[in-house]
Amino acid sequence: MPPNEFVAVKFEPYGMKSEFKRGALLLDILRSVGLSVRSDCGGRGICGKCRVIIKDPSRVSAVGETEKDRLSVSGLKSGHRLACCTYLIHDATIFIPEESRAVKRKFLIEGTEKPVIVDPAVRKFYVTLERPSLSDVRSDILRLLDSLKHAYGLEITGIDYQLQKRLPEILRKAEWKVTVTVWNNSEIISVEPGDATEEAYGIAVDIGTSKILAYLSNLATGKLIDTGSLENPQVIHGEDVISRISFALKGEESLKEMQKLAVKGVNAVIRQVCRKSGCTTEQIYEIAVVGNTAMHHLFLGIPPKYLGISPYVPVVSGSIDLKARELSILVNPSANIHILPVIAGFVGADAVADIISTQVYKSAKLSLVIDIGTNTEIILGDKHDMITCSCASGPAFEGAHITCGMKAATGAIEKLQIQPKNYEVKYQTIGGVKPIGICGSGIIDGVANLLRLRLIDKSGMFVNRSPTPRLRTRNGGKEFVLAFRGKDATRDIVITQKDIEQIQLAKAAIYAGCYILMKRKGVKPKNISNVFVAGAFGNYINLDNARLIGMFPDVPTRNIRFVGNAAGAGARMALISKKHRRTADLICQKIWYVELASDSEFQTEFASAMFLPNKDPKRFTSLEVPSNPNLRAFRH
Amino acid sequence: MSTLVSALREQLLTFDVDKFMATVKNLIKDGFSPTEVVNALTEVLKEIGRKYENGELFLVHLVILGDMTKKVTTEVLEPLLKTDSRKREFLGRIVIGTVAGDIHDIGKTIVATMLFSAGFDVLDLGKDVPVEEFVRKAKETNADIVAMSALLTTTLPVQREVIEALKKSSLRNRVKVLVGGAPATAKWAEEIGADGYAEDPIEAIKVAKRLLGLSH
Repeated sequence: MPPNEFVAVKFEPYGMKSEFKRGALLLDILRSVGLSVRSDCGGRGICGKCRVIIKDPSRVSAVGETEKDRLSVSGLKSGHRLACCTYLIHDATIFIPEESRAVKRKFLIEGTEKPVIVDPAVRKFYVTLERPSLSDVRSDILRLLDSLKHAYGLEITGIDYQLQKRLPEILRKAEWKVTVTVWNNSEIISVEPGDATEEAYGIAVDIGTSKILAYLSNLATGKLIDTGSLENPQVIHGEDVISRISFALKGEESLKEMQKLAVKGVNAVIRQVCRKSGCTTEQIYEIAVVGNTAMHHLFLGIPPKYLGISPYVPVVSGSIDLKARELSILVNPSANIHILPVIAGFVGADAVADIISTQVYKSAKLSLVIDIGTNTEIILGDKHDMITCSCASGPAFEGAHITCGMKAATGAIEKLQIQPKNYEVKYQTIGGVKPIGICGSGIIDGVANLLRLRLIDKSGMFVNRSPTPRLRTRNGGKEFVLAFRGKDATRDIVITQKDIEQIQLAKAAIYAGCYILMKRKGVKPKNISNVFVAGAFGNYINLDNARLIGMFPDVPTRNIRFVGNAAGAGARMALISKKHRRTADLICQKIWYVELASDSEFQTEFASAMFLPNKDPKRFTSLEVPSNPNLRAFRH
Repeated sequence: MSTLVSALREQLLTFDVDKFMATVKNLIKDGFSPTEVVNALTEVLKEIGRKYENGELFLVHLVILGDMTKKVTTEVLEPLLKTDSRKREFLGRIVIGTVAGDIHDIGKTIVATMLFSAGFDVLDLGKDVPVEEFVRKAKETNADIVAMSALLTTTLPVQREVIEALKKSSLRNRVKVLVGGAPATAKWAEEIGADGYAEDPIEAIKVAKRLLGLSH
């Protein structure tokens, strides 16, 4: 056949057509039209990633030995071919399956703005080693490194020491066909028999003061496989960060105990998520960890003493990579643990993860991030600069120190509305069961409704004259009954005067923190394009109601978004993308920490923000605030 | 005097700091001496204390009133009091501060202001106050009470250190020690050998008076 003859090729699923010289290599023609396929080995017939499907085998060159080796019999039967080994002969239709496309894989993580390009620190390579012989007596390791270099052009500098001890048996049992796991293109951390390139898993862990969360992801695709959650076992030594630090300071043994508990919690949640998904802990090659600075230090066993004493400096702030076995984390023992950097004593890696997932650091528009917890971290900034602070908002929004408060779990009232005409309460519980308590979002709704219906005044005080039996006096204090014991609930579910006060204290700290950052940056609410609200609110928070009580600066509700666990999302991004790890390091170098307690205006702002929504009505001009600014209870 | 008291009360309970400041300035312009104004303020705060104890006022109000009173005393009254020929009679002298390692002073500042308004001569050392500073100032000013706040469980133990330092410098038998702050409790006060504990500014006034053998 004349070699210069042109043949027509159709590319599916793109529906694109083009003409090529007869005898051209499929890999080359795919590249020439911009349809790059994966080719980890550079077209040497080793990696088997450039798989395409050609239904009619007569259109292309015959199946060669390399393809027979790399492709399964059934694959070959259904037209699978390697683009690097197949030549065009006649007009043909080439189907490029999704897994072969070299377009960078992107993955969307809930709560994030844009898909993440998957670029994990851990990659797997399948290689066939030359068998040793009397004429080739290279060491096992050298043999392995040579084959990786030959097949993939990888310049590996090291191999995990513990792995070296097991290597000779693994290689021989696998008959020299193995999958090698490489960390950061530099170190071999695992060798396993056969082709296991698709089985690469990693876990993002968010060590919170109250909860430890784990996100199991496929490192090759970025896909989230399953999530796990567990109460932080350290809770037996105190609810908040400061009491944990205090306990750890009691002596070397106490610090060890705290670290042990953190490790125990992380191991348990990893086991939990692996069990759910059927993957083995051995297959976990990478872990990314975030947490507040105290949790970070305790997890690492670093003394947290100076976090608890002014000026509250951390021991270490940069990102850390270490072996899972060094911390007794029960995954693949050679797996790497990447711990994201922290910003300050009270602004930890969780806040860094918030910034990554909300992408504040690269936005041209000004954003405000509020991650609500016992300590609320606030970030204000854009791609030019960012400032941050932490405020002690207390655990009220997590249901603690609230009479009928509970975490966002089954049976919690998460949403409610008080009817203006008869003060009856419509509510929704998590799981749709009878209410057993009220969680943060429910309390916000409650206080906002009481304010809207003028059952409480601007200072949060219940009115003197009760228009409904639901507003009653018990044990010398006033309270509003959301659900009565009996047909509605197993006990009276109430909001007391004290509960309202707790919410006022918490939201005042948050608002005052936001205000101080805005003041430092010289901006007004109207300059803020986006407000991201993150935190322990379960699935829901009524932003209108949160605004009504003055929790956030006066930004229109349409510009406020609840993003759930933004720190977990950021940890997942750092797990599957090296670029985001570098971003995290850069964020920490760039961001400026503001100590609220040393700002002379904080006290006045805090006091002012204890009112609903604020003592200063000019702060909330866009809100429809009940027009009784005077405090009836004080009329003399 | 009663017109002064009611004028102050009315303005204070509007929770408007600017109006309150203006009112106080006007009262002084009208010829009231700063001492008279402070004494009237003391009366108002007594009423507020009663309301707080009766559950008519809450922490919210104490925080805001404390902040308002602080502004008025530091920005208007204190500078004038220094030059006032009619010396104010104090119930006693208190040295107050947040302990070393702790920079949280909203609560402490309110307590200091309330104590001042209640008739004490208060020297506020601020926050993150070194142990020796408490001792030195107590000695220098011949204080009757050393009052300490700590907002963190990590800094709470410093209260004990201050008491020990007072003992070492033989001051302990001459001053009473009053402690407070979120993690402090009456039991803690007893444990470290403090003379009193107060949960809020209103209680602080009561306890301070009791420690000095004064009636309410």
